Amino acid sequence: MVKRELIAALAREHKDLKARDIEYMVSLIFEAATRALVQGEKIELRGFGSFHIREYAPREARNPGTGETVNLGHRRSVLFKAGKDIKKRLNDN
Amino acid sequence: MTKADIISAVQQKMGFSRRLTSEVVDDLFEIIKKTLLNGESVKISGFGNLEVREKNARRGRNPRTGEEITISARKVLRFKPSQVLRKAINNRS
Repeated sequence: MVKRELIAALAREHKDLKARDIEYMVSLIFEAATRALVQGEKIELRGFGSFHIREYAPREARNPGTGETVNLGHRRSVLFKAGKDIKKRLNDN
Repeated sequence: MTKADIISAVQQKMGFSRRLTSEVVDDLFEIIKKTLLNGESVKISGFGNLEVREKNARRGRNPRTGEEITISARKVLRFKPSQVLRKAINNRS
């Protein structure tokens, strides 16, 4: 499912809103989330999960194709931790 | 950042009632959750992809007691931040 389909599914549940407004709301939601992560802030969504930043120390790595050594600087990435409910429901069939 | 902060950010821009805004935010994450529980990936361009991964059973160890245990096969969620998000969180300073 891609963003466009998410917006369509939301629009089906919210006939009280214009599709255009829903689309805008969805982009505001992910913009707010991005802003928090850029500031190094964790996002906690009850019943869903959390997103947080992980910092990686600089290191030397190798390009596996060419064998060339490259220097990786200090990097940050985003990790997601699924909420208890999702974890449980994914595994009880 | 919590769901309440996301709702506030959306509300400020849209001017809809708190109640309606919070319904849309809740519904969005609910739709994402249901999709994932159905085993389908969710791709949000500009933010990232969430997907269900199957993990094989493996031998593990209780880090506290050192006891060997079998970690059963299970499903986990994985988040892959988009190129855009990775750039954003790494270009801060």
